[in-house]
Order: sequence, then structure tokens, then C-alpha cells
Amino acid sequence: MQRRRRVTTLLLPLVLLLAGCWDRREIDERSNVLATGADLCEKGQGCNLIVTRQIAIPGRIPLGGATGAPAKGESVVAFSTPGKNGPDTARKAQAELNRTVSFAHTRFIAFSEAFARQGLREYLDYVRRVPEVRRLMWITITEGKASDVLRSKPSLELVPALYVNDMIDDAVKAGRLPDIYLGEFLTRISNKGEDTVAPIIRMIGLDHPALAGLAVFRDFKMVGKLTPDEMFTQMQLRGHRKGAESFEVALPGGNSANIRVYERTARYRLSQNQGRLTCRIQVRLETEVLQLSPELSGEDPKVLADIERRGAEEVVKRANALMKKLQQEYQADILGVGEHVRGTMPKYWKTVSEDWSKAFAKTQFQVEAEVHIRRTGLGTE
Amino acid sequence: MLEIIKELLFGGEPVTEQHGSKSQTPDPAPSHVVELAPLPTPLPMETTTGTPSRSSLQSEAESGGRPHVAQGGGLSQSLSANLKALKQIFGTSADITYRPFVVGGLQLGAALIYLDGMVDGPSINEFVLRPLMQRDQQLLAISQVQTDPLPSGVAVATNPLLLQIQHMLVFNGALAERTLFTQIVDDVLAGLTVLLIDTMDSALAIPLQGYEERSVSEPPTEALVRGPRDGFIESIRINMSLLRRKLKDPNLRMEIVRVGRRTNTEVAICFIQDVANPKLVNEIRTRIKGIDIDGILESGYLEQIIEDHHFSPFPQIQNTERADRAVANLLEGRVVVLVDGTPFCLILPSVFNQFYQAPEDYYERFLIATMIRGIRIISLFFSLTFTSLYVALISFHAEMLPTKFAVAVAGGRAGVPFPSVAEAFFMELSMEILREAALRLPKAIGPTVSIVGALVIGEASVRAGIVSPLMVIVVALTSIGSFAVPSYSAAIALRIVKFPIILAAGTFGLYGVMLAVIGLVVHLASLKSVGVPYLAPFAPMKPEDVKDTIFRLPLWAMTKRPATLRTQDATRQPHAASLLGAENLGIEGESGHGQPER
Amino acid sequence: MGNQSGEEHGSITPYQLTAIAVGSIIGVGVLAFPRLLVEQAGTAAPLAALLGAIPPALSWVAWVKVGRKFPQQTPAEYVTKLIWPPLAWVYALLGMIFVLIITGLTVREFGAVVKTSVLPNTPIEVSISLLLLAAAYFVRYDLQVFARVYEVFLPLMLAPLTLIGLLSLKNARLVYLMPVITDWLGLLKGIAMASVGYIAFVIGPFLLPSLTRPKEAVKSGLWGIGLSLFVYMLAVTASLAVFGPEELKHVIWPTFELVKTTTVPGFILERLESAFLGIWVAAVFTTVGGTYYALVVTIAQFFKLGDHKTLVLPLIPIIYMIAMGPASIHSLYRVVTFFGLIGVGLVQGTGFLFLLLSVIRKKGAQPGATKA
Repeated sequence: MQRRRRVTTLLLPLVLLLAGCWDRREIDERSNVLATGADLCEKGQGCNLIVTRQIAIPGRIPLGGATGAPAKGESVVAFSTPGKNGPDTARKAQAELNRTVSFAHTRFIAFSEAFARQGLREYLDYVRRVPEVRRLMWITITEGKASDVLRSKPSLELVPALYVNDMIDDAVKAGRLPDIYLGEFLTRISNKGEDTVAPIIRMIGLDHPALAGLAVFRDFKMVGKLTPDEMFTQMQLRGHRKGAESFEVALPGGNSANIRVYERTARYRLSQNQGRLTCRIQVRLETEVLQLSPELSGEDPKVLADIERRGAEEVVKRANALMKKLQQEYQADILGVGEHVRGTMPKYWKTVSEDWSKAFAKTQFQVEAEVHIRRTGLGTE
Repeated sequence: MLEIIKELLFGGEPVTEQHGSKSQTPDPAPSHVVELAPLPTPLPMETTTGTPSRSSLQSEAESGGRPHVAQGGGLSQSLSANLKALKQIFGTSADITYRPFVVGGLQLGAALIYLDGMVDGPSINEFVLRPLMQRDQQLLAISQVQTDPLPSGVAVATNPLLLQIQHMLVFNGALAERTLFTQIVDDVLAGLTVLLIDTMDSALAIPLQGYEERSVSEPPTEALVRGPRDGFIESIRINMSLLRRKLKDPNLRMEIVRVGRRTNTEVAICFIQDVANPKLVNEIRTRIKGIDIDGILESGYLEQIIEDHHFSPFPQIQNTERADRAVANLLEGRVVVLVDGTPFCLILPSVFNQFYQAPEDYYERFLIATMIRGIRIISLFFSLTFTSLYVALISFHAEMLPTKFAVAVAGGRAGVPFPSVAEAFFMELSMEILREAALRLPKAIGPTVSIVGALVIGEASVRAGIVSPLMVIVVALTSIGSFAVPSYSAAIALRIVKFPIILAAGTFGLYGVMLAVIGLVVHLASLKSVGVPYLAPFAPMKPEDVKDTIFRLPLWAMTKRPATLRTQDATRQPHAASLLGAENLGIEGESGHGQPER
Repeated sequence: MGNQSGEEHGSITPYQLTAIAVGSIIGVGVLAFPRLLVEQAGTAAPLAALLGAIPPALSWVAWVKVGRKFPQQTPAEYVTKLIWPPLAWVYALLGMIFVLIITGLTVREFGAVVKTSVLPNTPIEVSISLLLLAAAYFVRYDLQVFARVYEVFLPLMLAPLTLIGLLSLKNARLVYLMPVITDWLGLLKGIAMASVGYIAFVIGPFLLPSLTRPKEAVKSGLWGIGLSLFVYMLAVTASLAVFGPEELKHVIWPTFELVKTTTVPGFILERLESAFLGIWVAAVFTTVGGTYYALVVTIAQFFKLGDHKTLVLPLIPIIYMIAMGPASIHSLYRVVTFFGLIGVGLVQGTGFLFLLLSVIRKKGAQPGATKA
């Protein structure tokens, strides 16, 4: 008994040893793709798309943080590969690299607007199937070429891909951008009663990517854009809790107030009447005053009530404009109203689920808004 | 009855194994009334047994081990014949001393036999030789009176003359009459002085041992900040007294068993009679008695022979140099085995849980103790798995590192030619070498070696591009972690097990690490220490015992002894519920027992 | 030397029974469980998961009642008393083959997860063999060691998914859980699917004679099923609340995907799926260990072979071959679903069947004396 057990315990490590290590790939033996961008191929080049990949050069980013010697040359290299589809470009890119390509650290994918308008179904299917890819990476749409973003060299950050990544991370955390990572993006597309959005990146100059609103999708195709203001309205309507936007409220007498939203909630009330769906959206914003015209006093309850009332009107006005755009122009339910319908009116949902976009376009929306001013800052007047 | 009174007189406390088993049922526990002999002349074992009660086991062992003595039989009445026989037994050994003289009052030839260097010379001169050699007329007068001046039964000697000598001429507290050569030989070897007198076929054994001993000092291997400073030393007598001084309970039993055909080492099985599980004590007693070996030089010999699983790297028996730790374990219902000649005693049974516990845990207040224990547990896991987890991350699961860090680590590793497993093995191995080297070197050089080794090797190998700087940090943390584990033997076990886990990490990443850990858990679950499951109280779960594991609850909450040990008296603090917060009802106190003051 | 102290041999405490139940039930099945349920029941999946625990719970009560009529015997021993012996042989053989198959399939399913997600280049044969060898090493020990290992791993079964469930609250949307019931047929199918999740507890009835406190058998077994239900509910509810009913059907292992979309705030390490899978090795190990142990014990007891240990090694190649049987991951899931549904009948139905037979044929000790 004892002896047999001994033999077994001896055999186990032996098997381990002899088995070898098929998957051992040291961290420095990988070509870490930090970001990917997809552009449409120009006509006549015999390809469907050009994928640009930003790859970290090992050793250029010092371990010691700031104390390390400033790296000579670039910390990353970006190079473009034309091809028929995603896997095809990956294969070709691999042939040009000395190390196995790893997508484990890919932080975002940038699609050019033109590419996104053609549809992302195939490319995202590829992305979804690769287990290395992180579900928490960002999907972004670039005005202009995606490769420009990947080749830019922001001066604020050593690794360009991380600049964009941190920018989006921070915006999401602060409530300046909806939290739509790859997994959420795919989920929203899969939902029958919902369409998705993605942040737009615009290049300022050659080396400075910046956030510039949202791209609106219907199914896998990009159908339009929202300005940053519209984006905030969309976030208000969806009730993204953490708020960051500020807007100006015009007051009588040429005065104005600037208020900042720090918390948003939205409630959906659905009802249907003879096949026509009515959706009441109650938006409630918690705000604080950022700036007041000198004539006004922040201690005056009348003034504050006035700001609240007019602010609410402003919110409703913007919301109605956005809803009109979404319903008539894009027919994209980026508010997820359809999901509420599915959840609360299953019978009605069965009649519209197959073509929700059209039903969404016909839905009557009533937006109500409440604005509450909770603080007026440190100044008293 | 005679024996009991003899015990009364001669200390009696170190109960021989024979006595212990005999008197278990009717024992009215008088054996402790007389304290142990004062320290300078520790009391020998033999006196307690009395003349006829030699254990059969010992005589068997002796008949096997020393054939001369076996045929020796009883003493004759002739001094010269006796001396001749003894000289034959001891041969020409240089340290045996025969001191012939004449008993002044009787004009009889006599001789003292003892081992030079093991006896206290001045005491022999003063308390044995001087009174015996002085002429004293009174002796003869009284010698004619046949009656015993002392209450009957108190005397040791049966020979009336010897009785007189005992009563009037030998100024010593504890004596024994000897009639067999085997006894005399044993006594002499144990450092007693034997008095032979012509015309008498019995001898007196006088305990006047005096040999160099280390004084009781703080144990270097188990240092602590707060707590008693006394540690065991090499003498079993002193060690027994250390236990007794902390545990003044008549139920503390110390059974002496002699182990080792040639070393004849005294081994004391100590337990609290009405606490420890008798089955447990019996099992340990049988195991120790079953040992047949020529010598026991350290408790490690004993440990290796009586442990349950010989092929496990994990120590199933704890050892300690600290008397307080031993007593704490006795109070929990465990058995402590002292071995003569070593400061390390064994604690049985021991479970895995004990290896991250230190005596200080109970001396510090419970919040502090719990936190410190938490740190130790973390370092235990560190020392076991940290390197392998790092290897798994670096060479298999790079996606788990934050991107910026991953890119930087890749940079740090860029020049290293080996896979990280090899790197880890190299560093761990050099760490072990350093540790071993620092341990063996003289104390003055040890720290130098470790500093030089750690700094120079670490720094230089990073510079040379053999290892990445992060690996140095990781390995250093692992090593430090293993030093934070209080039990040295457990720390070594963890260090051994660490290597296969690193190997598993290098072949299969986290999957391999987990498989190795599973194998380890199965192994640990299969271990037992003297019948107690090694992973107790977690598996099998004893909710009451979990109070003293990862957390160390306040003393007033720990009212029970470990349930895993199945003690006879499970309660430590019978009235604890009404005395919430009364920390003075301490673990050492046993206050609830109503023990009379002494 | 003194390996068997005798006094607690073959005794399993109620807590250990609970741990064995949880350890056997929770395994690789949790990873695909939400998808399989949502495919059948849609947004009613959490309800289906909840109700799906009822059949195994009732079946456990039935098993315990049968067990009380044969207090010293395991099902493998009393089956011949309840059923006409030739039929009992067929029945027992079927049972053994079934347990053999689910052991193999569990190993394979996990092998597929490992291969797909963390060790893409390591041959699946190797990762499967390693798991099997580890399980064999484990099964060779006696019942006490077996039970203790489950006790040690119990927190590892419960903690990760509880943590993941809590952390995924950030991404959860309540509307995905609505409506609670879509269609009744789908719900019924979902319940059947959910009760498949409990078949790995075949070892349960075999432990009944070894309990220290047989009276608590029902209670501790139900605790085990309840805790497993908790884990299943967490997996289903959290996956559904994060992915919604549509996306959930598109991911092969939703629970695993859930881990991928979870970050622990303030934790250095980012993508926890490898770590999760690492920990989940233990869960799979205990499941495989449970069925494997049930298998060898059944064979040993039914054919009166005495020691079960000699059977462990010869069975490895057979289990290995079964594990390598399904050609692709999709055929694997077809096979798993098929045998799972059979298992509901064989493992859980047999409990009721035996109870019925023992009442009708008046077999076993003191019928009717057992308390309800």
C-alpha cells in the first residue's frame, strides 16, 4: 500500500516533466498588440480592409517607471496589413513578426467611420471567437482613418494605445461616456430591443486623439453620430447614474446659470393603445450650480426654483430633438426601450419583436424632466 | 504500601512506566506531596522504583545489550569479589574510579565506585567519605540495638548495618539499596556513587551527580518578544522540573521509559492524567516502547521512528524548546515527550494548524494575535506558491497583468535567456544555498554571508541579465515568507513542496499549480498524527476548534480544549460565561479547578 | 504504522455530507448551465433553476428513506433484494455504465474549456490525463480522506461565484431578468435541464451507511443541494442580468464569460478568467472524484470484491476513452444533454423507484417506522 502510493506520487511529477510545456510563452516572447484599427481598403488594391496594429517593443518601456532611462526611439510600432478579412490580416501580420502575435493586451479596436458604416458583423464575429481577446476592451469609431489614431504619438503618455484607453476609462468612470466595452457592445447588438453606440475619436492635429460624441448603430451598421451634447442627453434618458455634463440655462433678463449634473435617473412608463406604444420617460437630474450671472443670488430660493424649472425645460427640449433624430433619421433604439417592452409587456413584444426598429420609430415618447439643485458651490452670492 | 511510602520519601514523582500502569486505577495521587529534589543534585530515577521493581523491559534490554551483567546476578558478601566482578564489567575504562577505604566505626573495608566527571567530588568527600571514615564509638553502641529508630517502612536498606549507615553516616537525601550487579552498573553509568561495604551483600547508591550542564536560557530557535525566557536544556531532570514548575498539578504524569540498547536514554512521556485521552497516551506509550535501536541521541530519532507517515515531507510531530509551549500543549490535552540529552521535546499529536501558531499568540491580546497570525498565514502561502504563481503569470497568463506593467515586465525580461521556470529554479536554489550556508557558518560570519549573498548575487545576476529584477523580488519575498513560519520543520517542508509546484507552474501554468495544490491537499488530508487527522479542525470540521485557527479569539471565548483530541476533561473555563472579559482566567491558569494553594 | 486508528473509521459527519454534496454537484457544468437553461426557458431561467432543485431534493429524501430500511447497506448491495436478481444485474450494470460515462464526459467538458480558453496548444489528451491521474490518486484513499478533501475545498466551490456574482452587479440590468415567465413548456424543459445539474451527486446514497448521525442525513443532504442551488442561481441570475437573454445564447460558457467581464476593483490582476479556471479545477476535481469514487465503490460492492482501491487504476483508460469520444465541442454538449436527461431518470428516479419497491415488497427493516 505505502509503496504503491509512493510510486504514484513519484509518477505524477515525472509525467509533468516529460509532458513538456506547449503553452509556455514568456511574456517577452509575445508580440503584444496593444490596439487594433480597421480601415476600408482603397479601391483597386485587391483587398477588403487594412488592419493596423500597434505593437509594444519590449525593453523600450522601462520597468522602473520614471526613474528608468528615457527610452530611445519609439515604445511601440504600428504597421498596417491589408487583407480579405480579420483573420487574413492577422495571418499576414504574423508573417512579418519575429514573435507570436498576442491579442491578450489589446485595449481597444478603432474602426474608421466608413468601415463601420459598412457593418461590423464579420469582424466582430472574429473578435468574439478569439479567447485571448479581453471582453473589457473598448470599441471606438474614428472620424477619418483608424490608422491615424494608431500612429499618433500623444505626448502625455509613453504608450499611445494606453493614452486612448486611459482617456476612455477615465471618461466612463467620470460619467462622460457610456460604459460600452466589447462585451456590452455585443450584448446590445444581440438584444432585439436595443441598438448600440460607440465613442467617436477625432484626431486633433497629428498626435492628439480626442473624444467627439457617439456613433449610433443599428444592428451591426453605423447609421449616424451624436454630438457630445446629444450624447449627454442620451445618457440622461438612459439614466446613466454618474453624471458629469454641465449646461447653460437661459434666464429672463439676459441672465444665465451654468449647472452641472452629477446624478441622473430615468424611469420608463410604457403603455399601449391599439397597437400604438406610448413611452413616458421621467428624467430626474441632481445638479449643482457652477456659475451664476452676477445679478442673481444663489441663496434666493426663487432664483433656484427658476433655474430648476427652466433647466428641466431645456432638458426636455434637447431630449425631444434627440428622439426625433433617433426615430426619424436613424431608427435606432439606443435607449433600450425595446428591452423594457420585452420585459414588461411580453405579449405586445411578440408582435413587434421581429421588426422593432420600425415599431420604435412609431412609438410616441413623452419626456418629463425634473432638475434639482442640491448645491451652489463655495460661493454664497 | 511500602512502595508508596518510599515514593513519599524519595520524591516519587517521576513515575516509572511500570508504576504508572500499575497504579492507574487506585491512585490516590499522593505521589507529588514531596517536591522534586532541589536542583543542584537532581534525583535519580532508580530511587523511586525501589529495589525489586525493575521493569521487565529494562532487564530484557540489558540482557540483550550487556551480556556480562546478565550472568552477574547478586552481590556476594566479599568486597574484593564484588570489586573484581565490577572491574570485569567496566574493564579498563579510564573514567571509572574505585575508592577503597575503611569505615571508621566498624573497621570494615569499603569502596566507593563512581564515574569521574559525573559526580560531585567535594560532596562525596564531605558527605560520604568524611562521616564514614571518622572513628565514632557511638555507632557501635547503637549498632547493637536491633530496633529501627525510625518509623517502620521508612528505611531503604534491609541489612541492619547498612540501615545504620544510611541513617547515621551518609549525609544525603535520597539513597537506594542495591543487591544486583545490573543495578549497580546502571547506577554508576547514570552518575550515582555506589558504596560497597565488606561483609554485606547489598550496596548503597548515593545520588551525588555533578556534571557540567548548560544553564536554562532563552531558546535561540524560538525567540519571542513577550513570554517566559526559559527553554529546555540537555538534562531531562531539569526539563521535567521546568514543566512541573509551570504546571503544579498532581495529575501531571511523567513516565520514564528507557530507549536505546546502548545509550539507555531516558525518555519521559508527560501528560495530564485526567485531561489527555488515555487511548492516545497508550498509543504513544506502545509506540515508544516498541522502539528497538542502539541509540537515541536526539528527539528527532524518536520522531522519525514513531511518526505515522514516513514518506511525507510534513512534520507530523511538533518539537519545541520552549517549556511554556510544552505546558500549553499539555493543557490542551496533548502528550509531551522529553528526551534526555536534547532541549527539543516532542509534542503529539500535532496538526497542520499548529505550524503557524506561536506561543506569543496567546500572550498578546487577541486582536494583535489574530493579525499577526494572519500575516503568518499569508507568508505561509507566499512561501508555498508565490514563485510558482509568478512563473505561471509570466509564462502563461500574461493577460492577467495590467497592460502597462506587462509591457514593462516584458522589457525587464527582454535580455534573460532562460524561461522563467529555469530562472525561478536558479534563484530559489541559490536562495536555499545561501540559507544553508548562513546557518552553518559561525555566528559572526553568518549575517555577512547572507547580506553579501543576497545583495551581490541578486544585483549581479540582474546586471548580467541572468534573471529579471522582478524575479529577485519574488524569490526574496518567498524566502522571507518561509522564515516567518514559526515552525522550522514546517517551513522546510513548504520549501521542499515549493519546487514541484514551480515545475507544475512552468509546464501548465495556473492549471498545473492548481493540480499540484490539489495533490497537496489530498496528501495532507490523508495524513494523521497519532490518529488525529492532520487537517483538523478544518477537515474534519470542528466548529469549536476553529476559534483558535486563522483567528485567535479572546481567551474568554476559548472555553474548551481542542475537540479533535477527545480529552477527558473538555472544559478549560467552566465559569467563563459569567466572567466575560475576565482575561485573568488565562490559558495557563486552570483557575476553575479549585486547586489548593501550595 | 498506526494508519488506521479505528475509532472513527468510515464515519462521515453531517457537515462532510454537505460538503460532498456541494463538491460533487458543483463542477464544470456551472460554466454552460446558464446557456442551456436560457435556451430552454428564456428569461424564466432563474425560476427554472430554482424549481429544478426540487426533483433532486425529493429524490434525496426518497434515497434516505430507502437507506433507512437497509441501514448497513449501500444501494449496490440492496438492489438485488429489491429487484428480481437478474433484472437487478442489468439495472446495476446500466447504472455503472452511466456513472462511467458521466465521469468521462465531465473530464472531457473541462478539458474542452481548458483547451479553448487557457492552454490552446497543450493537447487535450494531456490535460485530461492529468486531471484523471489526480482524481485516481485521490480515489485510492479511503472514505475519511475522501470526505476531508471535500471539506477543504468547500469554500473554493462557493466563494468564487459569490464574488463574481457580487462584482457583476455593476453591469447587471434588471430588465434582462424580465419577464419572469415566458412560456410554460419552456419553463418545464428548463426545470428538467436544471435538475440535470444535480446528477453528479450519485455518491450520496452510498454514504448513508457511513454517517455518524444518520438522523441528519436528510437535512445535511438538502443543505448540500441548497448550497449548490445557490451557486447555480448565482451563475444563472448574474449571467442573465449581465448578458441578457439574447447574447447569452451566443456565448458557449456564459459563467466563464461573466468572469471575463468582471474586474475586482483595486486588485492588481486584471483578467481573472485564468485564475477562475485555475480554482475551478478544484470544483471539477471534486465532481470527477465523486462520480469516480461512486463508480469504483459500486463495482466493488456489487461484485463483492472487497477493496475498491484495486479498481481505480484499471478504470483510467476506460474513462479516458469515453472522454475522448465526442468529436467536437458541440457534439459533446449534445451527448452531455442526452446523458444528463437519462441521468435524471436513473439517479433521481431510482430513488423513488426503490422507495416504492421497498414499500410494496415490504423489504428492509421496520417499514413505516421511519419518521416522515
